[in-house]
Amino acid sequence: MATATYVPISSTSIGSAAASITLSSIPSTYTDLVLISNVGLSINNNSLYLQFNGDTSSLYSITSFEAYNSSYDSYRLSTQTKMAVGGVNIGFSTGANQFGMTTSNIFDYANTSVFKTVIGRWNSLNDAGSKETGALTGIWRSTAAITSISLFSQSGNLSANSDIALYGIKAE
Amino acid sequence: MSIRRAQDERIEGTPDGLNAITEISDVPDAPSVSAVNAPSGRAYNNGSATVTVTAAATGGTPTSYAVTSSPGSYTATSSSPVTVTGLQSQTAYTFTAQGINTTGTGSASSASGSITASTIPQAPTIGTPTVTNTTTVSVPFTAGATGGSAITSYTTTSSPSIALTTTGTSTPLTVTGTFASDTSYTFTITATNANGTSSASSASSSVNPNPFTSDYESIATVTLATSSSTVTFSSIPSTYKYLQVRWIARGTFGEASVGQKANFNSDASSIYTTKLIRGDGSTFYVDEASAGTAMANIGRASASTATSGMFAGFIMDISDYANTTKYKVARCYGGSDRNGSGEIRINSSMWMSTAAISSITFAPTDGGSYEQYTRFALYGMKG
Repeated sequence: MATATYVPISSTSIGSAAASITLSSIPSTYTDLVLISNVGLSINNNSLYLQFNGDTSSLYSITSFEAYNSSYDSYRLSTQTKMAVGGVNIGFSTGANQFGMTTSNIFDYANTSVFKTVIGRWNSLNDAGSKETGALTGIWRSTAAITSISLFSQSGNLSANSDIALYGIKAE
Repeated sequence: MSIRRAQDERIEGTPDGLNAITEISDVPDAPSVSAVNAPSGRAYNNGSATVTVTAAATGGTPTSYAVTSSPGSYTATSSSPVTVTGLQSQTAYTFTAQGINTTGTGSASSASGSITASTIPQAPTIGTPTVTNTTTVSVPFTAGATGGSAITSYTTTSSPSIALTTTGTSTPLTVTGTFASDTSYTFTITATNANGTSSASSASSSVNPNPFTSDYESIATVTLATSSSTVTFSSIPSTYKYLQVRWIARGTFGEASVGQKANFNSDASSIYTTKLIRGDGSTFYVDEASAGTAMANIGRASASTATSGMFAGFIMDISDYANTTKYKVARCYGGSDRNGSGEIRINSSMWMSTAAISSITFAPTDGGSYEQYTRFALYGMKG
């Protein structure tokens, strides 16, 4: 019997600029997580990052491709202390009404037998002259179940009204 | 201590054989039970009676009284009044009392008047609750004994706890509240009479009054406990508008990654067309293939030489899969991280068939098998 899923777990919107947003106490009852952000960064030419369970060890890697203005390329960042999920070489803008969007699919996040794989997409358009979209695959080389996710900027703050929403998908 | 002439007879062993007057102790004569009442608010089957005892005018002076019930022979000893506990609810009792002093226990009084122990009710026995709607649950129960006073109301408590309104004094109770989304609740019931509230029933089985609803549904999942050369979803219902497959995969192959393909309805005829873009961390690629025998190049899974625990992740979307007037279009997106390299890919494919998709088979393309923990999950989205 088919079972309804894609369940909202939590969402957060910040009323004023903040260094990070953290979703904690993530239940282990789903199979995959989908993290959707609509985020502005206070400093241009930055990227949006996440960390799982507050882990700052060098266990994160990503491979991406992206189209940036009139160019395109592929990047790789290995053994990082955080995972870039919103652009690798360009971030979101500073305009008060300008926000970028990321979607991160986090597979088997509670399975303690596998490393945690992420596939994501992002787009960022602003009036500072940058237009970017791309996709990435990432890995957190840990078998720990993910219980918290923090999103933050490479430097500076997340802008006021930045918003993230977390969904859970069960596989039954 | 009382003094009385004990006996007007010769006391053995007295030197002169004269009669003697001796001070001796005496037990109390039978007292009277002057009043009995039964306090309320006692636990079920632990009623009590307060027995007021008056000493007899004759006999030894009692220092305490032993009171015994009938039936049940519940006893208590103290100075008057004496409280006897443990009485069975809704049962009539009389009591007798005996005076006690240092000499002994006197004879019993005549029985008191009758009282009936009145307590809080017996706990109800809860049945299996059923959901009426997202705010209402019907909770059947079997009433326990009243405890000697009519039951005036029932109260329902949930776990997790929320504010509930309980309506009714006979089975089933109607329980209303704002139940949280997609949360299971159990219930207990208490009964109340003039004496107080019973202990709670045992917890009911759980119900989910406000289940999560979504147009996105899990249809089937395959998780490999051992390796397998293919993973197939068959008998896919045609009741959705779109399908989505989400999976993590790792294959056996002598490199860090292994290609994958998909076939619809086991069709291996040359009617698959693919266009893809991908990046390997240094180069951006554009590829295509026509007249393929499968939806090929959908992404490379992690494989044998990649560190254990590494799995690739993918999502495939298939639009209008049951529409028999259209060729079928699918998009696959995902990739893997390997030892020192990685790949992200978006694949767009067409299966040039108007047949409704009723099965999908995934397989590594370079031989070998999917490894343990590879997991494919099929979802349907309503239109």
